[in-house]
Amino acid sequence: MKTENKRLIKLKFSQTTLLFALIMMLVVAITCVSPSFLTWRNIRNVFMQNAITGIIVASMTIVMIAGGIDLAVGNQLSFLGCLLAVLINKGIPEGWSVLIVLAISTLLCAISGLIIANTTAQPFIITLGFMSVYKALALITAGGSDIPIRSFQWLGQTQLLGVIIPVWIFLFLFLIVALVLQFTKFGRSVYSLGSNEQAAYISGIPVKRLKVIVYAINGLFIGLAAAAMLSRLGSAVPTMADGYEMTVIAACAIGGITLTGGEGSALGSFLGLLFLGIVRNGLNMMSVPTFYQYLVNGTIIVIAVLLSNYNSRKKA
Amino acid sequence: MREKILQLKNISKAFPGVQALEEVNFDLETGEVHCIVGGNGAGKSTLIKILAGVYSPDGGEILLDGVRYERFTPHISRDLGIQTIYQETLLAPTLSVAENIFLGDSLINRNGVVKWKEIRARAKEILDLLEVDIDIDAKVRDLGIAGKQAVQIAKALANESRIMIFDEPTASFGRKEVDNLFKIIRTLKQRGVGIIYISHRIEEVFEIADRISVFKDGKSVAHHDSKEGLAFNTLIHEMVGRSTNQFYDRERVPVGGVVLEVENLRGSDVNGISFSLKRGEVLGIGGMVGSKRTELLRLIFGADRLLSGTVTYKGKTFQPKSPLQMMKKGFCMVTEDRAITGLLMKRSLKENIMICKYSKFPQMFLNMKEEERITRAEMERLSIKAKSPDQLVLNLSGGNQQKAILAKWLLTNGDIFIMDEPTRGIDIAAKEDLYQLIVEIAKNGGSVILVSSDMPELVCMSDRILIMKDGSLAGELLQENISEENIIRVIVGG
Repeated sequence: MKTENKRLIKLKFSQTTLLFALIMMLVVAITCVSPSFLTWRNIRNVFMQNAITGIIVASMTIVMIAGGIDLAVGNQLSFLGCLLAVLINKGIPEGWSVLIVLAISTLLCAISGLIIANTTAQPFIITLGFMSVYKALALITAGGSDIPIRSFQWLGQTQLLGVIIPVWIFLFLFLIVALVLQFTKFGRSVYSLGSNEQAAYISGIPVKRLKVIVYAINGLFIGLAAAAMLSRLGSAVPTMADGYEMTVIAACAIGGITLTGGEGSALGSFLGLLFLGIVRNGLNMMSVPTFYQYLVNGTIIVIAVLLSNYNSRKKA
Repeated sequence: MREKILQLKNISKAFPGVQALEEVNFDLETGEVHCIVGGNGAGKSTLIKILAGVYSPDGGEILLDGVRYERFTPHISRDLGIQTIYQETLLAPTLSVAENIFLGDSLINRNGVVKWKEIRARAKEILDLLEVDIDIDAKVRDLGIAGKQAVQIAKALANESRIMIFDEPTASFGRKEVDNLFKIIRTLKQRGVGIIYISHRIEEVFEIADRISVFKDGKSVAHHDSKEGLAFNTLIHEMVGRSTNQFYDRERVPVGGVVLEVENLRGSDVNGISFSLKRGEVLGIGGMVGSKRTELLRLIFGADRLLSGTVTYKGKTFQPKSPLQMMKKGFCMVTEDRAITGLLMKRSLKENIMICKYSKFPQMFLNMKEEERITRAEMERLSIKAKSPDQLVLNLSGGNQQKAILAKWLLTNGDIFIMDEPTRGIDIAAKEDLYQLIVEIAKNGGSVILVSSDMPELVCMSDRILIMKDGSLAGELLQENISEENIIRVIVGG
C-alpha cells in the first residue's frame, strides 16, 4: 500500500515536474546565449514584468478549474485602471478610490457569473461580449486619451526587501489561491464543479452560487491588478492591458488546466506564467524583434500545451 | 447452411496488473446468436475491443472466413463487416435518421452533390426490413434509447456488416423494447448475420441464444451448444463460481410507520403523484423505460423544478427546492448514470466519497488524515476494491463505482434513500453486495425508494411496489401480490 501511494504522488507531480524541467532547460539555454540573464536584477525583472498578469492568472486558475473562462480580463483591467485614475485625480482619497474600484470590479464579474450560472450560455461567448463592453467603457472613461495620475505612484514604486510591492501582492495572492484550492472545502468544490457539474449539483454543492463566487473573486483580483498596474505605470492608458487575457489563459493552459475544467493546480499555472515570462525576457535579452517574438510565443504555447496534453493522457 | 465466419484461437491480452484474457477460444457462425455471459472483469469488453480493433491481442490468432489475422485495426474491422452496437450510441444527434444510417458513406453523385433521394429511399428500405417504425426524417436526438439503437443496427446493415456485437443492449430497456430488439435480431439472423450478444440478464440470454459461452476472470470457462436442458442455476453457478439463486433471498425487516408523505407532486413530466413511505421499507417503483420514474425521483430530491405538490417529512410539509436542501433534511440520491450524475470520474475515490459529507456539514478546511481514514473504512465496509483512496474512480469497475456512490451518501447519515437503477451494468457478486447494503439501510431504520428495470431485482427487494406509466401512478402491489406477472399485468392492463 505504501509504495502504491508513493507512485501516485509521483504521477501527480509529473506534469508540473515536466514543466519545471522545461523551465530549467530554458534558463540554461538562455544563460548560455546571454549570461546576464541569470542575475538577481534580471530575475527580479521577470517577476516585475509578470506581477500584474500574475495576479489575474491566480484567479483565472480558480475560474478555469471550475470549468469557466473569462476573456474580458484584459479589457476590464484597462477600464478599471482608467476609472481609478479618474477617481484619484478627482481628489477622492486613494484608499477609497481603490475600494470603490475593487467593489465595482467584483460586482461586474459577479454579474457575468450570474448570467453564466443562470443560463445555458457559454462563458466563452458571454465574456467575449463583455470584452467589447469593457473596451468601450475604458475609452469612454478616459475620454480617448491617457490619464496621468498626480499621486498613488508609491504602491508601484516602493520596494520591500528589494522587490516592488506589486510582486509581493502577486506572490501573496498566488499562495492564498494555492492553499485555498488544496486545503479548503471551497477549493474542493471548485474542482468538483469543473469535473462534473451535474454530479456536484446532486451531491449538494450549490453550483450556481459557487459560479458567481468564483467569477466575483476573479473580479476582485482584477481590481487589485488594476491598482497595481496604474500605480506602476503612473498613467492610465485605455488600451494598457489589451490582450492580457491571452497571456493569462495561456499560462493556465501550459500549467495543465483544460477548458473543460476539473484539473490543474495553482503551482502549475504559476510555472506556466513563469515559463512564458522567461521566454519573453530571454527573447528581449537576445534582442529578437517583437514581430518574431509573437511567433516564438505562439509556437511555444502550442507545443507546451501539446506536451502537457500528451503527458496527462498517458497518465489516464 | 451455417458456416463458421469467425474463429478466435488462444487469444490472450494482459494489461498492467491484470490478465484480461487468457487463451480464449471463441467462434461464430453465420445466422446464429452466440451469447457471452460473465461478471464484470470477465473479459467480455476486452474481447469486443479486440474484435473492434481497439486492442491488439498479445497472443493467439483471429480467423475470419478462414483468413488469418494477428490483430485488427478499427479500419480493418469495419471493412471486414464487424460492427459493435454500443449502449451509448455513437450517432450524430442533430442529424436525421436517414443521414445517420449513411453517415460516412459517400452517397454522392459525380458532381459531389449528396444523393438525397437515394439515401432516403435506402434508409426507408432498411428500416422496413427491420420492421421498425421510425420516421427517417426525425432527428436522432428526438428518439428514445431503443430508437437510437435501431438506427445503429440499420447503419450496421447499410455498411453490410456480417458480424454484429451487442454489448449490454437492453441495460435500460423495459420488456416491450426488449421484445422489439429480439424481433430485429431474429430478422438479422435470417439474413445470415452472425451475432455476438453480451448481457447480464440471464433470462434474455436464454430467450435469444443459440449458443452460450461463459467467461470468468479472462477465461472461457464453459460452453453450451444448445440451451436445451440447460438450467438457469447451472449458468449462474458457472458465472459466479458458486451457487446462488437467481432470485436473491433478502432478509425481511419489520416495516414501521409512515415517515414520508409525497403529495400530488407535479413536474414538467410528472402528473401529480402521491404516495407514502414507511420506516424500514423498500418501496419499489416499476414501469417501462420512459414512464418518467427518474423524473419523479429527481422531483422528490429537489433536482428538477417542481410545479406543484408537497413532501411531508418528520412532521414538516415543504416543497423540495434543491438537492442541498433535501440532503440536509436527510435524503440521499443514488442516481441512474454513474458517469453523468453520479461521480467525478477524473477525480479520486477519496474526493468522490467525501463530497456529500462536506456539502452537508459546515466546515471550512479539509481534513486530509480524516479523509484517508474514512475512505479506507468505507472501502473496507462496502468492500470497494481500489488500489488506494487516491485512485481515480474512472479506473474502478462499475460495481465498485456504484458502491462508491452509495458510500458517499451513507456518510451523510441520511435516512431516506432514493435509488435509481442502483445495480445497472454491474456483476452478480457486486449486485448481491448492494442488495445486502440496501437491507442494511432498512434494518437501521432507513427507508428506500428503489427504481429498477430489472424485474427479479424489483420483485425480490421490494416490500411494496408502485407502478408508473406515462408520468402517473398506474397501480400498487402489496407484499403478498408482488410477482413479475402482476407487475406486467398492471403495466399492460388498461
